[in-house]
Formats: sequence, C-alpha cells, structure tokens
Amino acid sequence: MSLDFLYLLVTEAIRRAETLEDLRAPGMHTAYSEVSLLEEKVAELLPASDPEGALARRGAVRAALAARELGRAQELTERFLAEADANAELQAGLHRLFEESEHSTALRFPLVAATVGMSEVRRLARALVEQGAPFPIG
Amino acid sequence: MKLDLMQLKAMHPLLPASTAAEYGHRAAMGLERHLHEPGVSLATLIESETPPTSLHWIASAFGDVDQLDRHQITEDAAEGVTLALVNVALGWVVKRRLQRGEFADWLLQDSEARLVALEVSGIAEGDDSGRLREKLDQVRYATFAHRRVACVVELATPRATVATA
Repeated sequence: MSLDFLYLLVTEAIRRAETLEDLRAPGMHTAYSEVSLLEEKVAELLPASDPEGALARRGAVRAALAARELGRAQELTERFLAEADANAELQAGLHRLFEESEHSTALRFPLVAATVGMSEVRRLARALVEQGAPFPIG
Repeated sequence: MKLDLMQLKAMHPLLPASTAAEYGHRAAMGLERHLHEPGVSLATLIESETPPTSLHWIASAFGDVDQLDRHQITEDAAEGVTLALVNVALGWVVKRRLQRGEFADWLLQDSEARLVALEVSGIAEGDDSGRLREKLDQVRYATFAHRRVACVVELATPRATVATA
C-alpha cells in the first residue's frame, strides 16, 4: 500500500475517531484501534529518523492508548524504542504519551491513583494479559 | 484570488473525497447562515499581506442546517475556507490529518516539499485576535514541521487570518 493511500485512509480514520470521541460513542475505541493500525502501516514505510515516520510512530501508540489497548501500546513502544534510528526526541515523546495517559486515568480514578498508583495498575494489567488468565496476578 | 469551496479535492488530492465534500458543504452552510452569497469577499490577512479574495460555492437549499451542531459547522467551515486559502494563496497541499495532541490539525507540504503544520479554528463572529494568539501558542510546539502556522476564520464578516508561529 502506498504512503499516499495510507495518508488518505489515516485522515479519514482520525476524523471518524474524533467525531465518535466527541459524541462519546461506544465505537470510538474500535475507531482508534483502526487509526493505530494505519499509523503502524505508515511507520513501516518511513524510518524513525524521518519527521513523518516519527509522527506515525507516536500516532500508532497514541491511538492504541485512546483505544484502551494498553498491551498493544506497550508492545509498539518497545518496538519503536528498539529501532536504531529512533532519536532522543522520539523516545521522549513515546514515554510522554504514557505519562499523559496515566495522568488522565489518574484524574478519572483518584482513589486508585493515590493508593495503588497508576504505574502499578499498568504493571498488573500487563501481567494479567501476559499470563492469559485472571488469577493469580503475577 | 478566487476560492472555490467545491474544489477542495482537486486542490488537495490526499484529502478523502467525502471529507472534501463535507467541508465544502459545511463551509457553504456556515456562510449562508450569516446571509452570505457565493462571490462574497473574504477579508484576508496572510502575515502582512491582504490579497483581495472571494469565496465561491454552489448555492442550494441546505435542508439540514438545523440538524447539525452549530459549533461543528463553524469549525468545519473554517477548515474548508482555510484549506482552500492556503492552497490558492500559498501553494500548500495536504499530506495528512494529525491526531489530537500533535499541536496541529494538518500536515501539509509547501511547493518545495517542506513540511507545514497547520492549526485551524473558526468563530461565528467577533474579534478573532485572542483565538489566533491561543492557536499560535499551540502550534509552535509542532516542531516536526519546517513551518508552523495558525489560521482563524470568522464567518460573519467573513475574515481569515493566517500567521506563522
């Protein structure tokens, strides 16, 4: 798939996801999941050192977080951080996305944030996903 | 300078046809709501230039104007007018939409293929200087682009102001 065609699709997908988000419609998570996949496809065509490649990498992670696909967001981040041409700005940007996500989640769940901490919630969520069963939590 | 709001797809080939049509349609609705007709002058300020500009669209009886959110019409009208303006006046072409959080709405390229980050905002009527300052403060963080620009469109006059951060 060409970059031009992917850009056309990603523009359409972002507009749809943002419209659903504004409406707080249940389909917004699926729509953001689609955005994340398209951004990942763009990232496959452009190196991390290219400004548009960096945008796509941040976009893939940002949209995965908006889709509440934490595991996918973490997996993408690890993959992008491991790329040889990922510069410090991109690396900082990817980490910042998680910080922003944790901050907004903490605002929604202040008691959990104050007692357990959002980093611990993220660790537990990942452990649950990786072990593939609900109990015991690793 | 003549801006044809029905030609957004021809101006920006990477704009999805449905999006281009929607912006053209809503720009027409937004302008007609303020009793403007095709051919109306657009008071344009691009940095320090004020090129004579007119807006054109195919007038029709838009039956759904009351069914759509007024704020959304204003924002989409601003997008339509801005994308037509930056293409005709500056030769910029859309590459892609940016997600919220990237400090700009659009990534475009200029005639030398350099990246431009564009933030767009619309207001129905009144002074737009405060909104422009706010948008310039936002878009200056879009450091991935060679040039960072904000455009505010006011529909009552109508007026468009383009400035670089």
